[in-house]
Amino acid sequence: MPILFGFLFFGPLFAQIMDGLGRQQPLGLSTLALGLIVGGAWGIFAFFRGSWIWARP
Amino acid sequence: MGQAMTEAELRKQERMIARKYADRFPWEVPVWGLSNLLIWLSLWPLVFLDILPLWIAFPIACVNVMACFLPAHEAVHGMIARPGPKLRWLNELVGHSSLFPMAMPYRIQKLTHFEHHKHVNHPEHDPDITTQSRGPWHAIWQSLVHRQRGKGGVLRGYGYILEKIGRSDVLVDGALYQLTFLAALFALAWNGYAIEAALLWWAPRHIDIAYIQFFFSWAPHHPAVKRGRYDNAKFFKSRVGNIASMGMQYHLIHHLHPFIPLTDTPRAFRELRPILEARGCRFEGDLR
Repeated sequence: MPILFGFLFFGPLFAQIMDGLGRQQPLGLSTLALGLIVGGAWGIFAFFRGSWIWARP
Repeated sequence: MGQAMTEAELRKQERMIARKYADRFPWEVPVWGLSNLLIWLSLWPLVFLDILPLWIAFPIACVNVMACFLPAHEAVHGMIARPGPKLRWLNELVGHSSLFPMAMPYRIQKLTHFEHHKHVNHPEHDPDITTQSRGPWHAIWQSLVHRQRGKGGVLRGYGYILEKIGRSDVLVDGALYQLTFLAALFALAWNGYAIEAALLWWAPRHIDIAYIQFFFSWAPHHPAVKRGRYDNAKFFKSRVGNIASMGMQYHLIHHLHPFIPLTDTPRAFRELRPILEARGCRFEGDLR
């Protein structure tokens, strides 16, 4: 589920935040592509770590 | 007063005072629960249609999500109507619907909350013992940490308790609520409303879980060690006042007499105070 959440929610969320800030093609990528890379990577990290914030119960 | 009264007299006096407050129909609970839900629901079209700016809607949503918990908690205790009477449907409607912004199933909340009442501060049987912390900042941090999946899943504490009481069937509610919540967030995000979804639902929910756990569980029970009827919680003067602390300055009144409506606990406290002092309850600050 964290992987899905990273790609399906954080991905477009980061993209729309960058759009709102007027960042056109950050690092030569579309905002959605970069959002999916960052959000997806965070989701993959959260899945394997069992935590979005490193600390876990 | 306390020194002069016997155990039986204290008990009788306490029961008499408590009964006075428990017999009222708490009209404010359904009004609060249903209107709070309507306000939160109305934020969505108001924001989508650019009638209300998101920066104003966000704090309102935070208040809504926090405020949705208390009417549901009143319903858990059958404050509107206990099982049987005609208005029981209203009690259950408020319980189920007012918790919706929190994406929290009422049945799970109800069953685990009863276990909390039965086993306050018990290290294994109290589902809310996870809020036990060293201090206020640690309590907030713990709230964040304990909602991580870790090794046991997000409903780890509640799931364990529900299994223990033979009601793991209601975990289905949790799965359905979670799937609905996530599906709504994903659909909104992929239709260009990710920031709106984040600020009207996702972030308020996370902020308010911490807020509710802090005031509803940590603050009144800290250090959450004693388990006696009169010392499993304390009376405390909150720096942010009674409303902002969700009325939890008087939380022990609720544990002693769960049928007293939340809005009556300050008055019940003032009347019961001599008895509570005689019972050796804990008081922190100048609470009136």
